Amino acid sequence: MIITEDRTVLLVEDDDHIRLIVKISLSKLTKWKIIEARDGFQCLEVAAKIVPDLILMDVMMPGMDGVTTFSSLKKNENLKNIPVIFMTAKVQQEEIDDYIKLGACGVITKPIDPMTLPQSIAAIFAAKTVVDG
Amino acid sequence: MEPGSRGEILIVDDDQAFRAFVSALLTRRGFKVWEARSVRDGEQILHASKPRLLIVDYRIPDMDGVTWIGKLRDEGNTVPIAFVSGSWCDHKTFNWLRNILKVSLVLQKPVDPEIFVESIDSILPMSQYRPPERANVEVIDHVSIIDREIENILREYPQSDVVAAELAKLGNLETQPESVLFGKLTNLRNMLEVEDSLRVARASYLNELASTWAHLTTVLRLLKEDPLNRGAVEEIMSATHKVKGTAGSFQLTTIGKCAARLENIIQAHDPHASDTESEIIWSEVFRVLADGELAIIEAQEQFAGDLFDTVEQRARLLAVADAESAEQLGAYRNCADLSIATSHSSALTSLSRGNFDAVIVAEPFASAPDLLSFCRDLRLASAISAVPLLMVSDQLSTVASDTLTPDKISYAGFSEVFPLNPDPEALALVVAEMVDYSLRSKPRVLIVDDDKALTDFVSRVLYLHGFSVETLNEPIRIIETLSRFDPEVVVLDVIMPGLSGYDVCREIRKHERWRDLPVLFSTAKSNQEGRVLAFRAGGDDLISKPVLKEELIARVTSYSERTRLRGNSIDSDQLTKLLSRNGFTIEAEKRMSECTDIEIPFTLAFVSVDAFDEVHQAFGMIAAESVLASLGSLIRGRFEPSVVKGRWAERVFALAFTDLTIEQAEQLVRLLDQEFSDLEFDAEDGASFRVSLSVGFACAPLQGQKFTDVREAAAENLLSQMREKSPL
Repeated sequence: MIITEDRTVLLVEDDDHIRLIVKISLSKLTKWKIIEARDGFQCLEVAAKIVPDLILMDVMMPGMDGVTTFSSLKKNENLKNIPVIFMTAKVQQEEIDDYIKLGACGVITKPIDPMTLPQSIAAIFAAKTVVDG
Repeated sequence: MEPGSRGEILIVDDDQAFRAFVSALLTRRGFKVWEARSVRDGEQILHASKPRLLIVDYRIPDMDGVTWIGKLRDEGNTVPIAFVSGSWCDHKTFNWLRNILKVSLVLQKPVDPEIFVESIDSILPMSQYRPPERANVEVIDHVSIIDREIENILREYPQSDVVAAELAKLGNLETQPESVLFGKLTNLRNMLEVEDSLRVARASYLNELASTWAHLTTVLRLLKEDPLNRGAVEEIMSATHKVKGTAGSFQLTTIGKCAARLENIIQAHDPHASDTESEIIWSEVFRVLADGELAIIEAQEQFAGDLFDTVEQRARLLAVADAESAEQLGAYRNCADLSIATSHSSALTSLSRGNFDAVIVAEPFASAPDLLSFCRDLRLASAISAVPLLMVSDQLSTVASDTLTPDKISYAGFSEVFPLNPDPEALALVVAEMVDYSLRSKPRVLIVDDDKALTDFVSRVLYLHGFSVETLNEPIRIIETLSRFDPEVVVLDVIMPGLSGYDVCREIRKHERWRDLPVLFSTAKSNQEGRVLAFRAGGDDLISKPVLKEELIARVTSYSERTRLRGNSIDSDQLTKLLSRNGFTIEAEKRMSECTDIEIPFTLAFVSVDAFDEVHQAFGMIAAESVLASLGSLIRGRFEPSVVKGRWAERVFALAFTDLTIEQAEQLVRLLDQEFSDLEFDAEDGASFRVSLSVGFACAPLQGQKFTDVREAAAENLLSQMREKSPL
């Protein structure tokens, strides 16, 4: 299971509290290394330096929002293959479908459950593996 | 084998379950095991003790295990080390560990307990350790280690739902391999750590949320004043959206839902809606805001203990006891904060300084001959006018019963007599009653609003700030509620179905008794027009909706103080500090209707000083005044708190007893008469004299259903007794 593997996750979220919740959950329940960014600009900057295994990104952020940041990542040769999971408090199915069509690896809806967050992420990867063969 | 007889072992690992596992195994084999969850802690222990072996995990929070071992070896430390890792070491790392870092043992988690113990035994120098006969080795019972870890978890997290749920999922312990079970328990430990961390994070989030919510309220007010304010709409949308995601993630579901509801309402907000439409929308907004605020307060109460000690309201009791009986008052500590005074004088000092809800008199003071006068001093020293007294004594039945009859105990002011080790439930009940009594002296506020969500919120806020609150959702019952509850402030909603707030206020003002009662309107119309309407209806002030907590508390506090200041001058008597005739009538009438409702007797007594005019003439005005003052202070210091006491006329005092028949009340008042008749007064010319009392009783429902009937009957009986004593 991917939870037990050493991975680097880049967490992009402007809300201090959500960042804290995600960090608590992932650092205690997985062996992943968590790196934080507060907005899209920081995300691009950090991603270029460390090339994380996964990016967990909020959609609504001041300055550069999640979708804009996502397309910037996709334009960068080094970063375009990093899987991105969006976090959003909007729960319309069309919206989730839109993100998937854009090329996101998956969507996690807020409120998040810190107890099962790692499993949700693992489930997204498992589904992805099945689909992609 | 004696724990520690084989020396000390230090384990450095942030995985608590593994530490517990190792510790359990090795302690039973005679080692003392030190546990450290970080390199920092480990180094501290290394400085303070001399372990024979280090067990080091690969992943430690502040430094990885390999680096730390390298550092130790660089510093010349040669202690044997066992290295434990969650993943297989590759060949290169293994060689590095064994050959360069001189690690004695490399193990992979999960470890098999038997192999683990044998390996540890094998690397420790033989000279210091003689392996026991095989038969002496305690057989490693796989299940018992798992059991022990489960026990530990249950002890550390006695009330956790996560523990209960996860343990239920464990399945049959006997049939699963230990490593699998241990993996599950480790995962449970991790989840519990998540819970712990979240709890602290949530408590600090809640503080922030309270101010976010207040800000949201302010911005919503702006939008209500100016429906075209786009900036306000955007701010509200972004704030509610954020709260929806964050509060929900902290498992503050209600607050998250309230935020989501507000987000939806404001998203659909139409600045050009008709008055009726927007009135409906805004009343929904107020309701959701109130729900959210209430949920925040409740969550703060529930989780406050996670950040600091709970600010639970506990009764404050002062016990007067010697060291021996103080030690035996343990049961009282469970239901209240208990202070001890070991002498009369220290009790009186504590009481005059501190705000105590009740006083316990225990041995040896309870059976001391001067109990009666001590009780009076207690009453007069207390800040509460008739502080509840409780007696704790095991000796009553034997020693003191001759002198201390139940009547005397009640007359002295005791509400209850308890043995030293009381039934905890009965005790808690009595203490709760006592606190309830001291609640009665808190300022009373009546909230009138047809919307229960709003009255719940407002009353909770005021209750937390020391008010006694009653809510009324049916404005039509305003007058009967006022008569019963007798509030010092009324908060009145303007828009209610049936009677409007203005109508209710006009109704209140029709009654002489409530002409000056402060009425605050809570209204969404806080503009000039709203003010004019409110003042015209007889209101005193406005509180704008949506209600801001701070504003509400400030307004209500200042108006209730106003009422109290005025009330004190009307309702209490200057000379004796008892209730005035007006104050007594209001209070006694209230008690009488309470008694009638639950069909228990109510007795009224008028007590008059005999031959007062003669005393006045013979011994002078000052002597006469001192007679009245002494009787006043005697009455003030006596009787249970439930007895209403007042000065009815110059020489006439009034007492109202609930749940006592005339015969029972007579017993008590006879004791007052005896005590008073024993007092010697000094005349101006140096002579001394005594005074007797006349008393007239009347009882409801015997003498009538109305207070005036009972009052007249009691006055009639008093007059006839006075006539008997000194016929004209």
